[in-house]
Amino acid sequence: MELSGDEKRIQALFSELRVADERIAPRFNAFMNRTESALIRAPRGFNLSFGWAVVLIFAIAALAWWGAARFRQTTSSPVVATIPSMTNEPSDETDPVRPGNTGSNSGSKFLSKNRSNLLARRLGARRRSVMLAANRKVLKDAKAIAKWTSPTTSLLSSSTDEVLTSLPQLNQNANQLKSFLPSSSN
Amino acid sequence: MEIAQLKAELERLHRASFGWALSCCRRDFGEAEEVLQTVYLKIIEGKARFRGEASFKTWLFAVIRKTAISEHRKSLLRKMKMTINPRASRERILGVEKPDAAFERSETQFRFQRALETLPSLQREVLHLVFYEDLSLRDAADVMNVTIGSARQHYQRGKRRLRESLERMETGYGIEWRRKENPGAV
Repeated sequence: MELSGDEKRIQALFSELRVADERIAPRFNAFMNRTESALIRAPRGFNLSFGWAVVLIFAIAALAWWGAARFRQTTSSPVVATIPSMTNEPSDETDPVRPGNTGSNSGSKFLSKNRSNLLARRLGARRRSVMLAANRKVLKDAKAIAKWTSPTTSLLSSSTDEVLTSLPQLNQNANQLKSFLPSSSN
Repeated sequence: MEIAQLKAELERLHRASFGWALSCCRRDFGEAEEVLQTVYLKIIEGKARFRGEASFKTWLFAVIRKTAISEHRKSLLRKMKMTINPRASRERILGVEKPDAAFERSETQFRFQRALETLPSLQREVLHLVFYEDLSLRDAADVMNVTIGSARQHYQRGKRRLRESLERMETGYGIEWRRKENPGAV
């Protein structure tokens, strides 16, 4: 490929640049030695970063597991948690005069546990009865709506309604069947 | 290819590779060294493998280019850190400017480098590969991972733009250039 004037000039400038670059270029052997020493050092850095990554993954997993367990704990016992405030009954711990408190520590714990279970069952039963009552009301309303007829329905009925809404039967005689045929007077 | 063969090839192309790395790193001496070291590491470790699809030089230059792009991204982060630590950044700039000082004796070369800096990266790369490394346009296109048509376009535009920049920098440069090439016309 023949070079034009511009190209010759550019090539001359690039050649000059190349000569200058070759002067400042690092020696290959020294450069390779540095590269190889970096190659020897490299695995340690890799292990360190890998170790950090593993630790980080474990920490995230533990945090996620702890969060999930906590969430499960809070969602599984909401009824028991709300009972004392709804029943307005003072707890055993706040009422030192109650006879339950005179027993041993484990006995009082057992009693309070039984008591809370009982309250939870009562609350559940109350909720169920409220829901049943509401369902019954809904059913009653639905039946009333189904039975409802318009007050003008009686005005629309006539004596020939039966003819229009029934079909002739096979066991009927000819005279009875004639009533369904169009009149032949025309 | 065996390690010994690879090293021999790398040694043969070491200066050209360093020149190409310098061009890919916008004449940043420190960054070019780092890029070349990373490339040699990749090759020795087998992360970058030569499969014989192109010439070794073309393949090596493509690896250098890709590495320089990724290193440039990393260096952006490093520069952000250095703005926090201005002392370190000053030291780095001094280190970078060291090779440039060698060129100051050549005014034309200095202007030429500044003109090269004004070019878009693809135009600068194709000019470097053709004029500095004596590669054909097809090989340059392979290194740059573009089509030959695209490489040709970058080449033409790069040449035109380089000449315009040089003319702008030195008022009489264009006239002098034309006088040299065509003495009868001026």
